Amino acid sequence: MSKQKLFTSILILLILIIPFLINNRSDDIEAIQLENSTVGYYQSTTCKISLIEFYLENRGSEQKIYFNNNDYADINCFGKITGVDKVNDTYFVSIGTNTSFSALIQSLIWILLLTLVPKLDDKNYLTYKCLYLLPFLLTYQHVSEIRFYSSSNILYNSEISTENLYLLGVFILNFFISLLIIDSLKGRIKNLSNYIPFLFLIVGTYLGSNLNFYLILFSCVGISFYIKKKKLLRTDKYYIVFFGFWILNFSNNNHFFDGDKLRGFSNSIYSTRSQLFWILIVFFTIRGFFYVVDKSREEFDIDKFMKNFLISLGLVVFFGVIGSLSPIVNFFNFFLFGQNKRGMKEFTSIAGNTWRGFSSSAESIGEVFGFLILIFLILVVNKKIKITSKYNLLTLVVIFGLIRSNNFASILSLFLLMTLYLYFRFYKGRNRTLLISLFILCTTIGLVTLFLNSNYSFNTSNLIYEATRHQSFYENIPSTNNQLGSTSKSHYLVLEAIEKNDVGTILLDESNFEAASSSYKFLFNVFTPELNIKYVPNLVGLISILSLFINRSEMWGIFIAKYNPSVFEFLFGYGPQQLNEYLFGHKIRLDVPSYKTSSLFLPHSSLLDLIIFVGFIGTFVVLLYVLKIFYKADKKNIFLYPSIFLLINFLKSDSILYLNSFLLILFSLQMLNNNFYKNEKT
Amino acid sequence: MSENNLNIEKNCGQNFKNEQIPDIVNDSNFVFINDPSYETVVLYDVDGNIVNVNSWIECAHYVNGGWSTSFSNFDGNIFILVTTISLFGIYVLSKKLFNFKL
Repeated sequence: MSKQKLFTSILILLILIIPFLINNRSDDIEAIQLENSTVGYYQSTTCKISLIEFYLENRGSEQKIYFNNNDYADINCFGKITGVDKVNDTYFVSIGTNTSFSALIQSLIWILLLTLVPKLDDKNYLTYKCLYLLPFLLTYQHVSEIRFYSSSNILYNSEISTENLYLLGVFILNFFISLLIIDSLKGRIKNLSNYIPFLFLIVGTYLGSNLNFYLILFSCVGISFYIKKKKLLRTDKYYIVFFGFWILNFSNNNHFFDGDKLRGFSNSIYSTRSQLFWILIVFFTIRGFFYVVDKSREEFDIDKFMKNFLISLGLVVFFGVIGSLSPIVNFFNFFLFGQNKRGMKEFTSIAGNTWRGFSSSAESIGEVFGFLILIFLILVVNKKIKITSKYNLLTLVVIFGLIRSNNFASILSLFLLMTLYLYFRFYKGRNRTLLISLFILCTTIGLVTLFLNSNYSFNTSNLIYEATRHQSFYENIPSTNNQLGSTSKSHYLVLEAIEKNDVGTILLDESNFEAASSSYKFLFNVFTPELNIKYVPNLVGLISILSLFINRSEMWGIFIAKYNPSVFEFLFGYGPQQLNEYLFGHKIRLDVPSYKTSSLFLPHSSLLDLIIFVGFIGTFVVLLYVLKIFYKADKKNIFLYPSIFLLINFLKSDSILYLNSFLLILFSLQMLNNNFYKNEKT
Repeated sequence: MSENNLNIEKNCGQNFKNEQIPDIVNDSNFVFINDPSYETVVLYDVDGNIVNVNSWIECAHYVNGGWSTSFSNFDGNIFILVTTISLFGIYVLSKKLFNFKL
C-alpha cells in the first residue's frame, strides 16, 4: 500500500471513529454495564456517554443490544447515547446521528475514498462554474421537501431569509462538497468506469436525508458537461418536452412518502418545487454518468473491472455477515456505507433479503451477483482473464452471496443465458435448422404443457381477478357476518363474482365503477372486447399468463388496482422518481394478511416503474432506444449477454428504483452503445 | 450524593423541602401538584421538545427521564456553519499555500 493510500485510510478511520468517541470527561458520567437496573441511568444521562465508551464497557456483555440511529438528535448528542429502551429481551440503544453533521462526515469519507481511485492524467474535465448551479439546486431540495427534512433534522428551518442559518449551512456544505468532488475527479474521470462496482459497497445514501452521494457526483459532471458544451443534445429535447408536461400537467396532493428503502432516490412529495428538483437532478445525473462512461471507455480494463467487482461484492458479503453478528458493526455499516435501511440483525436465511442494507431488495442484489458471475463465466470461456486462486476464492464468496440472496429468477436466468452463450459461442454450423427445430420443439412442449396441466381460462384471467380482489368495491355495504367469517361482506361479493367468472357485473354498479382505477377499467375493456377474434391471443390474457409464470400475478394485480392515471399522466408519466401519486393517490383495499397492509407495495417490474415515471410514450421511446442499442451492438461485446440478463430480471423487479442498480443497467447498455457522443448531434 | 441526584439538583435546584420522588411509573393515577413557591423550570429533551415543570418532584421526574435545562445553550446550525467554513478555509488555503491536491 502506498503512503498516500495508507494516510487516506487512516484519515477515513479517524473521521469515522472520532465523532463516536468524544465525550465530556469532566462531568464524571461514565458508561456502566447495561442491564435492567441501569436502563434508568442511561435514560437520565442522555447525550453524555459516547458510543465507543459504551461499547468498550459492554463488549463482553451477554445482553442483546441493538444500536439505533437517532437522526433527529441535536449535534451535541452526535455519537452519544440519546436513550435506551428494552423491548422484549433486546436493549435498543439510540445513538445521536444528527442529519446535518452526518452529511458532512459521510461526504468527507466518500470523497476520500474517491481519491483512492488512481489518476490516469492531470486533466480536469469538470468546470468550477458547476458551483454556480449545483449547491443552489441541492439547497433548493431542502425548501422543496419540507415535510421530509422537518421530520428528520432538528435544525431544519425552511424560511427563506438571510437569518436562516440552517439553509446557509446547507448551502455552504453543498458548495464545499461540490468543490471537493470537482477537485477529486481531476485526472480520475477516465478511470471511474473501472470502479463502478463499488457502487454496491458504498451505497451512498446520506443519513436522514433524501439524497444520495452519487446524485451529487454525477450531476456535477453533468452540469459541467453542459457548461462546457453550451448546447443541448438531441435526446435532451425530448426530455424538455416531458419536462413541460410534468410541470404543467400537475396537481398537488397532500400525501407524503418517507422514501423507505428508496430513500435518497425518490421524491417524497408531489409538489411543483420537489418535482422541479428531481427532474433536474435526475437529468444531470444520467447525462453525467453517460459522460463518465463514455470518457473512460478507452481506459476501461475488464480485468480491473472484474477484480473490483469481485472485491466489492466480496466485501458486501463480508460486512453483511459481520454486521449480522455484531451490532456495532451493523451500526457502522449503516453509517459508513450509506445504506438505505439497516442491515440484517441475524444471519438466518429470511424470506426477504439476506444482504439487506447493502441492497434495498433481494432481487436487485441477486441480479448484481448474477451479472458478475455471468461476465466472469464469459471471460473464462474466452480466456480473457487469468484465473488465480484469489479470483477463485472471491468467486466462491460471490456465488455464496447469490445463493443467500434468495433470488431464484436470477439464478435461473443466469443458467439460461450462459447456456445460450455457450451454444452461440461454440456452435459453428452454418445451418441454423437445428436451432430453429430446438426452438419450435421447446415452444411446443411449453405450450402443450401449459394447456394440458392448467386451466387456460384461469391463467388468462388471473391478473384481472387479482386486480379485482384489491379494488375497493362495494365499500358502501356495511360489514356483517357472512359465509367467509372474518371477511367483510363487500369483499365476499367481490370474491363471489370472481368465483362465478362474472367480474363485469361489479362494474355495472356506479360506485364500483368510480372506485375502479383507470388502468383497471382500461385493461378490463381490453380483456373483454366486443369483437373477439378466435385464435388471436388477448394481450391482457398473455400478460396474465406471463405474470403467473414469473410469480407476479398478485403484485401486478395490485399495480393495476392502484395505478389510476389521467390520460396525460398515462402518456407522459408523473415525473422522475415520483411515486407519490401512485402509492397514495387511489384508494384500494389490500387483500393481504394484516401484517402486510402497511408494507410498501411497489409495482415489482421496472417496466411498470418506468411507465409511472415517464408514461407510455416515454417508456416506448426508452424501449426503442434500448432496441437500437442491441441492434447496433457488436455481437462479441462482453456486455451483450449481461445486458440481456439485467433486462430480463428488471422486468420482474423494481431495480430501476435503486440508484446503484439503475446506474448498473445504464452502464451495461452504454458499454454496448458504441461511440455514443459521436452519434449524438448537438 | 449520587450522580443522578447531582444531575437533578443541577437542573431543578436544591431539594429544600426534602421531597421524596414517588413511584410515578407504577401509579397510573398520579397527578403532579403545582408548587407555588417553585419557579417554573423549562426542560428540553434530545429532540428539542419543551416542557414547563411547576414543582421539584415533577422536574426531578422529567430529569430522570432524560430531560434537561441545557438544550438551548448549543446552536447546531452555528456549529455546522463554523465547522464547514473552517474546513473549507483550511482546504482552500492548503491548495493555495502548499499546492495540495486531492
